Amino acid sequence: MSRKLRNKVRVVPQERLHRMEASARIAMLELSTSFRRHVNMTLRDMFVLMSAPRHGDEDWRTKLYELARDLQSVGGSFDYGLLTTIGEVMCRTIRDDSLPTEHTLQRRLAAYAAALDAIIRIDLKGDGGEDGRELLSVLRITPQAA
Amino acid sequence: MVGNPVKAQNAEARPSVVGRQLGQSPIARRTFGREVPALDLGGISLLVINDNEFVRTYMERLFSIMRVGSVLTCANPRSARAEIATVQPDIVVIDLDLTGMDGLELLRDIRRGGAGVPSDIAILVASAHVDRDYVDKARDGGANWILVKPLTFRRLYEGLVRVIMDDRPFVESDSYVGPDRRQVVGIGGYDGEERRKDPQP
Repeated sequence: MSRKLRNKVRVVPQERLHRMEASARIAMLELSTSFRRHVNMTLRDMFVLMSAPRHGDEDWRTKLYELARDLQSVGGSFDYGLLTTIGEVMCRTIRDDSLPTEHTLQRRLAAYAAALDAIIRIDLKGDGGEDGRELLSVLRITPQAA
Repeated sequence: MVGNPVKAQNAEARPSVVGRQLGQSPIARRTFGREVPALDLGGISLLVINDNEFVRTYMERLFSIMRVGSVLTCANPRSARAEIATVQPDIVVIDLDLTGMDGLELLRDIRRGGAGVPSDIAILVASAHVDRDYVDKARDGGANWILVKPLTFRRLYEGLVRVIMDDRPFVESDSYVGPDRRQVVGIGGYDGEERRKDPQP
């Protein structure tokens, strides 16, 4: 396969890659507005689901999982690493059948959703520094779990 | 079938599935240094299978900056097989986290010849799942390269380049169809001692 593909490309000066990276940085800034809009819509859908919890309903769980997974997968691309961290933990929690009670599940999911919302509202980028560590601590997410 | 597929069941007749003496590192001819090479990708066509509109837009934008020749997207994973057969892309980019569909199943189906393209088509997989088990499943499904999200420009670019430069033999056996899993795809890849003695992939 590679010979065929290799024949379709040619090596160009490394400078061109550096220029592309610079263009990508500008594009990320331009896309950040639509990123925030997308995240806000996803969070809104998440809160709608959370407002009528049906933990025993597989369909409900799947929808919530997809929303959490969405935030988890896009967050890091726009330097919202905490979205990725908490989204990942939320995904695992939704799929975790070993949680003792529905009440436990509901409390955890509500806390994660609120945290995801807060990250965007207060623009907590990267790992969030001290605030980020405090947030993870409140959520009882250890670095290992993240 | 494009390339140089290797039938694993015939492997005993050869010194190894990669056509080299066992114990001899294949890496020297396979890597191109630590620096990712800058490539003109104008001749490459991609089909991106992703049901998330925002992620599709995002990826299209980055591939456009990379000046990839042709980028088509498939928003409906259920029609992915038909799209692949129609488009006949050079590289398929599959998101494993598709809604209502197992991306791994699609990956395996392509490798088993169920998508109307040569089974050795280049496949770049993206996954939000970071656990090793999931990545191993994608590898065992026959992916050429697996990108773990977040998807940045650099990661996407490196992924594409790795897939393009992937010259591993293609293995077809009852249990596995895909690039030889025993070798790394080289961008400054493994350069240690070759310890594997078993020619089976």
